[in-house]
Amino acid sequence: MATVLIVDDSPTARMLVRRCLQIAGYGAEQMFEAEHGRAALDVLRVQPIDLVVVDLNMPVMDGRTLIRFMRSSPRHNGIPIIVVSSLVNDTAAAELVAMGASTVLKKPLSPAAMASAIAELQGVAA
Amino acid sequence: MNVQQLDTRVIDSVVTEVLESMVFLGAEPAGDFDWGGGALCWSSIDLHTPVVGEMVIAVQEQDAAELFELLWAGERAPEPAALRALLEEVANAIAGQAQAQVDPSATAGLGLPTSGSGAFTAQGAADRRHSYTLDDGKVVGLLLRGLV
Repeated sequence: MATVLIVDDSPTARMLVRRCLQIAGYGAEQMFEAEHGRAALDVLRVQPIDLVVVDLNMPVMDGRTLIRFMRSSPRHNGIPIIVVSSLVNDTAAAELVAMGASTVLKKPLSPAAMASAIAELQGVAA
Repeated sequence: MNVQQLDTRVIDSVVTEVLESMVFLGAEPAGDFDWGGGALCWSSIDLHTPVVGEMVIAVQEQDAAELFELLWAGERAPEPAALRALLEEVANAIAGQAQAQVDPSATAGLGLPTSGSGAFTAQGAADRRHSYTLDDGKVVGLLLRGLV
């Protein structure tokens, strides 16, 4: 997971995710940002991405739609997706995982939660 | 469910958790936030499901700048747009968690947060007002409004 794409319409949320990823060992040069799902697809078209961290509630294209697009794309289907949202309960988490999310984390995000999620994904990939 | 029926315990618990996580300060449902006084920084977000209504979070502008400093430890300048973005994220986190907790079997829904600064004049007699005092004495206001 050398490169990460952070997708959130909130610049504060993107910075918080970036900080959590840095604490988890990612450098700033390994991160890309997009403010909604459509912009994320533009990045995915031109940039190899190993992990997507995505919010749900965004303008233009929301997180659920982005997950559907990625999971229906042969090129992007295998990229792990971490959903980070305040709108998380058991029902939403189950629905998102069924839709193709790899892990679902609750906002506000903590570095420990992010590090644990990445470690789990790396364990799955190993 | 109308926002007026939202359990105060849910709101208090979510506000406390979000503020502690984001600005590293304890918060208690106490104090008296002055919605009509002076320069405020506020963010508003529509609640869609399961609770329907609007939620507004506000702090004094000076307090918003100090909370921003706590969060970013000097890494970023507390510019007005950045302060409003922080309030939007706080509002989004509180509203989303509250929605998700009200009915764990339902898919929760929110609008997109908006924000502003200056006096907050759009108040109504039926608004529910809550205040939270942080460990350092700052007071955060939370307003809940049902659909008319």
